[in-house]
Formats: sequence, C-alpha cells, structure tokens
Amino acid sequence: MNSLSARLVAAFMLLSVVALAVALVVTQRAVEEAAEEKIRADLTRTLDAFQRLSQAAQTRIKDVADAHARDRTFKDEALRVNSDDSAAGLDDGDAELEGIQSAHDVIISADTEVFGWIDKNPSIWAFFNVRKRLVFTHGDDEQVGKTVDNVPLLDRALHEGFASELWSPAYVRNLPFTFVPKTCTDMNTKECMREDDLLLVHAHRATTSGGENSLEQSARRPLGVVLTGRWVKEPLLENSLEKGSSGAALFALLAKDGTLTTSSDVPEQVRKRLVESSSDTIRPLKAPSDGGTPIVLENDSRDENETDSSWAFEVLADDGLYLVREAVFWDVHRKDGKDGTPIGRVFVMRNLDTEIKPILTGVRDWMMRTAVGVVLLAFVLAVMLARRLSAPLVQLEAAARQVRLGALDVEVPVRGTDEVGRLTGAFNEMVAGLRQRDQIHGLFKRYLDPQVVDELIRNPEKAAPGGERRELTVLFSDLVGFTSMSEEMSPEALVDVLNGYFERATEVLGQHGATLDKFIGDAIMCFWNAPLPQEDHAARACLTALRLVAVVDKLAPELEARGVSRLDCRIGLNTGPGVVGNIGSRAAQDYTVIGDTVNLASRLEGAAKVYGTRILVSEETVRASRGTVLARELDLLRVKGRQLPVRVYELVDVAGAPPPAHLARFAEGLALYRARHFTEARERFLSSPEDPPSRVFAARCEALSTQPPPEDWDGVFSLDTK
Amino acid sequence: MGRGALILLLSLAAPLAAAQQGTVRGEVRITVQGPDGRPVLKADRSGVVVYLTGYTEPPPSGEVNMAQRNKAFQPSVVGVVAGQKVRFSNNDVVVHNVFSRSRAGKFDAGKNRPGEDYTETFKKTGLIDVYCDIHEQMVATLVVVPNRAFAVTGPDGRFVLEGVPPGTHPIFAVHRRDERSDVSRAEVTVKPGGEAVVTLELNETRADDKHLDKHGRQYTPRSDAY
Amino acid sequence: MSAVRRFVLLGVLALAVLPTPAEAGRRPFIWVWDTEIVPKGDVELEQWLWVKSRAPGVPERTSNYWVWWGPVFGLTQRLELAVPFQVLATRERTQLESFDADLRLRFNPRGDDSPWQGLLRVAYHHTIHTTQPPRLDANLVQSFETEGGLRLVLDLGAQVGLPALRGQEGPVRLLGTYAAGVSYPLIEDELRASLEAFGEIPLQGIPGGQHHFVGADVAWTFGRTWVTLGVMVGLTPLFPETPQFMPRLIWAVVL
Repeated sequence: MNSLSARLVAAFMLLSVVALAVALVVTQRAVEEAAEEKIRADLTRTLDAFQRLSQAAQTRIKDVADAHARDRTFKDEALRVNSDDSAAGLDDGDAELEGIQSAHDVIISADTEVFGWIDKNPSIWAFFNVRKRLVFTHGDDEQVGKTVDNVPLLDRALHEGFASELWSPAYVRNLPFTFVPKTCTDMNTKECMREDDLLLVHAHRATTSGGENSLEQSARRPLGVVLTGRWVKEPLLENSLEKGSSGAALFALLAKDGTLTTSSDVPEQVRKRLVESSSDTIRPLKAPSDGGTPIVLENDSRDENETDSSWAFEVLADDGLYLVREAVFWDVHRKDGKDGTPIGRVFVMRNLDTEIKPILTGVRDWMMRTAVGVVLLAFVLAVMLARRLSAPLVQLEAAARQVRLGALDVEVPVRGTDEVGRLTGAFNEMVAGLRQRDQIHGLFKRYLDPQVVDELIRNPEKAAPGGERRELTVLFSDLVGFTSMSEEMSPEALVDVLNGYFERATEVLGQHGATLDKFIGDAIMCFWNAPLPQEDHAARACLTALRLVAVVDKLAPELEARGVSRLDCRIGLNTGPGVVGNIGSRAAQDYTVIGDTVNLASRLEGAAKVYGTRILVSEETVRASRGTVLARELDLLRVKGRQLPVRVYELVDVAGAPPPAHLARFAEGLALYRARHFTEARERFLSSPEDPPSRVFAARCEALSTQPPPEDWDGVFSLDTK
Repeated sequence: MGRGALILLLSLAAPLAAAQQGTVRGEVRITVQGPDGRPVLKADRSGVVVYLTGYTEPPPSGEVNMAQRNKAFQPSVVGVVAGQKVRFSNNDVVVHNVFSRSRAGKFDAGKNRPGEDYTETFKKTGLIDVYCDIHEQMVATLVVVPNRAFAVTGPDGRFVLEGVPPGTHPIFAVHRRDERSDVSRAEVTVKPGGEAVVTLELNETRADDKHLDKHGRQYTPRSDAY
Repeated sequence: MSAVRRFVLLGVLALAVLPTPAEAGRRPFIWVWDTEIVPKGDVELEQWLWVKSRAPGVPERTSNYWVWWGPVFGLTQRLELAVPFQVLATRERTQLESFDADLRLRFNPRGDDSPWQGLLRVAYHHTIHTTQPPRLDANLVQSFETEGGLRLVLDLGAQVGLPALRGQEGPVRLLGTYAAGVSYPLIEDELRASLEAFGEIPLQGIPGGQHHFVGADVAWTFGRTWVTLGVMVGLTPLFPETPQFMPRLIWAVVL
C-alpha cells in the first residue's frame, strides 16, 4: 500500500464503510423506535375503534330490539304472558302459566325467525315475563314457566330498560334455564355452547307501546324481558375492521368472572397475564361527578401511556413482546350521557417483535442494497478523487524529477487553492527559487563580490540574459611555468597547488568586484563593469592585477619548498566596449563578454611575455583608471588581428608609490627609441639591467640599429603571435 | 241447609278462632308524579284493596252490590271473596251493559234497563275490570280475594284486616285503574291475637285510560254516552 | 320471514289473542241444544248450513242441503228469540222452506253459577213451499258443567206437525228426538271439542224409520264470531234409512 492513490482510496472506503455502518445501525434503531411508537399509538386508536365498534354493535342490537318490540305481532303475543292476577297474588289457577304456555307454543310454532333479532343465523334468545318467568328459550323448546330469580341481568333490565353483560360459558352453563344448548345437534340449527368464547347478552325490557324509545313515554306497560345472546369472538374479535390496517391486532375480552376469550393466535402466557392483570388491577376509573365531567382518580403508578380510559402494559411471551392496551368494556351508553355500566375488560394487543421484524428486515434489505450501491459509488468516487488528488502530486513528482535532472524551467500548472494547489505553487516557487538560486549560484560563481551578489539577488533583473554593449575592462591572467610544473608533479599535488592559487586569486577578484568569466586551465578571465556598473572598473582591474601578482609572489616560497620551480603569472588588461551577456546555447550558457576588447586583452596577456613584464595594460585602461595606478608606457603594439596599434603600459604600482628609478630611464630610452635613436636608446635601456622590459628594448634597439626600420616606421611593434 | 250448617260451624268455631286470630292494620301511601316531575304523595288514597293471600276461606253468603248510578259504578272498587256473588244493579236512568273481559271472571250482563240487575258469581281469584259496554267512562274494579281478610281503603289510606290467622302471610295492596295495577307486596307476621302494623307503598304511574268494549272493539261515540 | 308465514302467524296470533266476547263457544254442539243464551240486548246473526246425505236404505232419496239463517235476540236474562228462515236445496230445486220463530227460555237467569242449568225451547216452524205441515218444536235441555269445563247436555224434544194450522188435511205428526252431548274445552273460551249422539224416532204419522246418529264436532270462538263445525254419522248398519252423513256448519256473529 505504498501508493497515495491506493491509500486514499482505502482511507476513503474505510471512512465511508464506517459511516455507512453507523448510519445503518442508527437508522435501524430509529426505525425500530418509530415503529414501536407507531404501534403503541395504533394500539390506542385500535382500542378506541374497537370500543366504538362494540358500542355501535350494541346500539344496533338495542335499536333492532326496540324495533322488534314495537312489532305488533310480538306485542300482541306478549300481552298474554303477564297476568295481573299473578302480580296481585290472586292467580290460583296459574293463569299466568297458561298465558305463558300459549305464548310459548305460538313462538315455537311460528318458527323463531319472527323473533330472530340478529341475522339469518339461528339466534340465542329467551323471553321472560315481568315476574321473570321463562316464556321461551331458544336453547330448549321444552322449558317454560320457571321463575328465574338469581340472574341479576333480568332485574337490571326490568329496572333500567336495557342492560348488557358478558357471560362466560361456565356462567351460562350454571344458569337455571338453558340459554344455550349444551350440545350441538347435527343439523346445527341452533347455536351451541362454545368453550373459548364469551356470550354478550343484552336484556331489553319490552313494553306494550313499543320499546324504551317509544314516544309515548306515559303509556308504557312492561311486558317482560327479552334476552339475546351473541358470541363475541366472531363479530367483535375477528372483525375485519382491524385486519385492514397495518398489523393484525389481537383482541381479548375478559368477563367479570375472569373468563377470557381471545382472537386466535394469542399465546397462553399472554392469556394468563391478561387474566391476572384485571384481577389485581386496582385502578379506579372514571367516576362521573355530578357535573358529568369524569374525574380520573389519582394513581401513583400511572405512566404516560395512560389515557383517561385505558392503560398499557407489556407481556413478554415466547414468541415476542406483546404490547397490550386494556380498557373497560362498556355496555351501551345511555342517551342522557351517562356512561353505561362496565361489563368486562377489553384488551387489544400486538406482537411487537413479529410486527417490527418484517419492517426491520425490509429496512435492512433495502438499506443493504443501498449501502452496497453507495459503497460501490464511493469506491468509484474515491478512486476518481484519489486520482484527482494525486495527479498533481504525480505531476509534481515528474516535475521534481525533471528539476533533479536539471530542467529548472519546469512549471506545474496550479489547479485550485487547496493544499495540493499550494504545494504546486510552492513547488513552482521552489523551482523558481531553484532557478534563481541556480542563477545566483551562477552569480555566486561569477560574481565574487558579495555585494554584487546581494545586489543581483535583490535586483535579479540586472542579471537578465541578453546582450548589451558596455564599456568594460577585461583581464586575462595566466600562470607561467605551470605547464612544465604539471609534468613534474603528481596530479593530486598539482590540483592542490592550483586550487591554492585559485583560492587566493578568487579572493582577490572578489575583493575588487570582478565578474569572473571563466577559468581556462590555469588562466583566469574576468571583467569589470558588467553586469553591475562600476565607475572605477579600470582602476579596480589594475589593482586586481597588482594583487594577483602579489599572490603569486606570496605563493612562490611555498612552492619552492615543495620543490616546484618558480611560478610566475602574466596579466593582460584592456578597457573598451564589448558585448556582454548570456552567450551560448540554452543548455550551455555563459555570461561572458565578446568583442575586440577581449581579444586585445588576451593578446596583451600573451604579449607580456615579449616585454618580460607581468602586467600589460592598454592605454585605454590607464586612461580609464584615472591616475589610481602608476603605469609605465612600454610600446605601441600592433597585435595579430588588429590593425590599429595600441599603446601598452606596464602596471608598476598603485599611484603614490615611489616609482622605481628605472622608470625614468626607460621613459627616456623609449623616447629615444621612437625618435629612431636606437643607439642612444639602447644605452639608456642598458642602464637598467634589473628591468626586463629595458633589456628587451635594448635587444630590440640593437636589432633595429643594425637593421633600421623603414622611413614610415611609426614605432609600432607588430606582434604576430598571440 | 248447607248454609245454615256452615254458619253454625263458623259461629261455633269463631270464639275458638277469634282467640287465635290477629289483626293487621296499617296504611297505604301512594306516590305520584307531581306537576313539576318530582314524586309527591297522593292526597286521596282511596280505592286501594288490601288483602292477604296464602290461605282460603269460604265466602260470605251475602252478595255484594255494585250499582250503576249516574253513569258510574258505585262503589267503583269492590273486594269479594272467591265464590261470592256480586249483583250489578242498574240504579240509573239509562240502560247499562255491565261486562268484564278479565280472565278471572268474564261476564256479560246484557243490556239492563234501570231497575234491572244481574248477578254473577266469581269463583276465581283475580283482578276483574268491570266496564259498561255503552258508557266508556264507567270503570270499576272487582278484586276477588281468597279469604275474608281484605279491606278497601278510604281517603286516608288506612285499613284494618281482621280475622287473620296467625303466621306469616303475604300482604298485597292493589290499586287498579283500568287495566293497570299498581301492586305493592309485603310480608306480615301475625301473632295469635296480636296486631301487626304495616305500611304499603304504591307508586302510581299515569293511568292507561283506554279500554275496549265487550266485543273487543273501540267504543263508538254514542248519543247517550254522556 | 316469508310473507305467507307471517300471514299465517298473524292469523294464528289474532285468533289466539284477540279478546273474546263475553260468551264463548255458545253452541258447542251442532245438534244438541244447549242452555246458554245470548246476553240481554245483544243480537246475533246465526247461519246454519247442513246436509242430509243419502241413506243406503233409501237410495232414491237425494241429499238435501239446508240453510238456516236468522237473527237471535237476547230478550231478557232468561229469554232468547231466534227468527230465522230456512232454505232447502235438493237436486231438483232450491226453495225457501220456512220461517221460524224460535224461543228459548232458561230456567235460571244468566250469571247463575249453578252447574245444573235447564232450558226450554219452543219453536214454530212455518213451512212455505213444501208439503210439510207447519211444525211446533219443543225441547227440554238440561246441562251440567264441571269445574274443569266439561259439559254434559241432554236434550229431549218433540216435533209436532200440525197440518191444520194451514188448513191442510192430514194427521198430526209426532216426532220424538233425543240428543246428548259431551263437550270439553280444549282452549278455554276458545275451542271446544264435542261428541254427540242424536236420534229421531217417528211416533206418529211420519213415514220412515228411526234415524240415529253419532257425531263429533268442534266449536271455535274468535272475536265476535263463533263457528261450530261437525258431522253426524248415521248409524246406517243398524238403521239403513238413516242418512249416512250429516255435516253441519253453524256460524254466528254478534252485532
């Protein structure tokens, strides 16, 4: 993993995977909580809907019962079942029983559909007269006439007009009359006992002028009580009302004696818990005050899941956590706004786990797919991004390589202002700096004067390439005897000597602000007044030449100690116009000067050997130095390749130094020489035997005296050698 | 002959019985719906028949007269012992047709002119609504009780039942109007020779003031009905 | 429930429930006279339809169809008067047979609670178109009713035909009749079932032999109407001249 791209991609992927995982977990948790909240809220709604449904069902039964009671046939029929004589205790012949019996026979013969309150299904019903004597029960055609005393529902109905109760099968079996046939006949024409169900029993007081809702409130005479029973499981518990909405809520009804009936699929643990919950529930519910507004009695254990009329709890069963909501099961509310009486408890429950599981599974699947897609996308993006990030870096790497290989003109395009862009910019600046440093290095190499270097660093445009014509002073210097020395010494010693000389020489050069052009073997070429203008460029050059000679002189004893023969140097100086600039090809460029001035300086340096002098300067240089040096005119010289003669001088010393005595004698001799008084000149020259130029001139005078020059001799000496 | 023997026996037995028999006395209170809807005690508590059940006694030999006078039955509430005769005499100036369709004693006296009468024997205990087939407003109640311990209250609602054998008997108070009864039932324990006091509460609801004629039809308006 | 069943039920219930008149099942027998009379001031319209079918011993005698139709007035607490007419229809002709005046006198007034009751009936039968002479009937009826409602009635009568009343020639005809019946209430005040026996013995001046019948009938009261339906079966093995069947329907409505 040593590629930035790969690492970036890996990091990006890791990050995105981690983020995705966290998001997945968080989302799942959030979904779970939301689903649970919704289910809880749904429970409340479901319970309310159930209550409304049961109220509606009960009200409908009640209305149907009223309508039937208003039915003429029933009314007339029922007139016979009560006997005022019996009510008055005067019925010795049991006239009431006769009426009851005849009504009983009529009902049986009429086929109970006449009195089938509910549907086309065979119904469970019974009819009693006002003294609670049984007239007819659908559960047993034979039973008639019995006084049924200990069924409080009958008394309530006689008193209030309408009452309901939830009866458990055990209670129904223990009734003093057969309300529901105990065994099912094959034809199943009658409803029979169901063990896991509860019977919702409505008792209506039938009156002569119609039911309880008859308009003629006054002329109502109670005929008896009609009991109708319905098993609750099918219509209420299995009702498709709740199947339509999300999730299948399960219902349970608890009768007052603790018998429970539930929708199918309710596990046994939950059933037990439901039965327990109501027996130890101590919550007192709404107790209507006189004003009719309900008061909820305070209960410490009330949690925020309670509404005024229902409360929630949870049951943990084997197949999951059941959220249960419990409320009181009311019989039908009366018209005057008063609540009905509680006849049991109703529970609605939902299995949280089974309901949440599909949701979560669905969410998880969906999220997985999305996550995979996102991961792939992230991968692609990561790769693209990494590439994009590392591309400039790669570019930078290539550019750096190029820079390493020496191409300092490399520039990487900067894209953006981010770190990479800044890095690229910095790189460019670095390369520019390198370039500059290179230039400076070049400058350093060339411009030994630190001041000059500073100046150029500060104003790099002054070191701009391109040629310009300037007035310059050029200096050539050569070591004499070096070549032979080089043959005597070992290469290491040779280089050592040379470097020692160069060290001091460049120091001198640097002190005098020389622009070093090049070292040619043991020769030095430098110039002044470029690139920076130097007014005293000639003076500087002369001083430099003098100092260079001093350096060589200083070196001599050392070299002698090494066993090296005497070393001397020759210097040639010239001042004149020249073209200075970066000359050469782009790959190999040099800041140098060209022109005739340079050539002359080079000739002068070679010519110094002829005169036996060390420093030979041109007239221009002497003039340009403006009296800062002491110079002796030597000759008029015509060098090779130059038509015009040049007056050459020898640099003796700085101005103000006591001139050696031979200088005056030489001057005299020179004048004589030029006057073609060669003999006199020769004598003059010979008077200075310590002065090599004098000796040279003496020899020349001798040669010329024997062989006098032509008449147009201008006193110029031609030198054909370089 | 039989009657004489009976009276002799009774008179012989009477001292013996009288030493053991007790009395029940008390009053009846009737609650009606007042004009403002609140229950209030009715002032006139007459016409309530109070009787005991549980034992039978032979009827007295005399007959009871329910006269029709001024297009009304007088008395309008009568109690008779089972087996007793009742004479319906027309002491009015118009023709009356006394009848009853009650189960305990159906009869049709036929149209009797003023001065004529009709006697019927009521053998079965029960409540008998007596009407006139011609005059719809004529209404009377005949309560046939099993024994002689009965009384019809006056306006003050008081009653005295005498000759009650000792023991616990159900006591009824029946206030019958048209075809509705307000019945109040209680139990009274009579010690030999003692007196028991009981108050019976009746709750009177509004009267059902419609009845049908002897053929079961609605009354047609007649010129001489009022 | 289907409309038909509802109708039937309605009918049944109406029959069962509509209030009964003061008199119920007034004539439990089709032949035997009974001791109950119409309340004073009431008027009933009675209609009898009966058939005398052929006798195996007298094959040429055709069946006779009779209609007896007339009001019955309650005159006093003891007296009842019926003034019907009778129509005879045979195969050849239908004719108005007679006008009658039928008076019935109870010994005890109505409302009497004695189980023994007696009644005397005297009727004048004024023939119109037939060759039969006008007739005077007399019946003496004694009934006994038990506590349970079982009724035993014995009826002895004589029919005297007097041709002289119309100025016709001929002897006085004398026919003796007897009838006895037992009636039991199936539904109190509503339905009674009865068995009766009846016989005619010509005593003087009447051709033909004795006729003896036994029969059974049922009497039904609803509302202001009562119906008695029965059939007398002639004891033809013993008395071949007795008509084989004599069904009768009596129907009356209280006005």
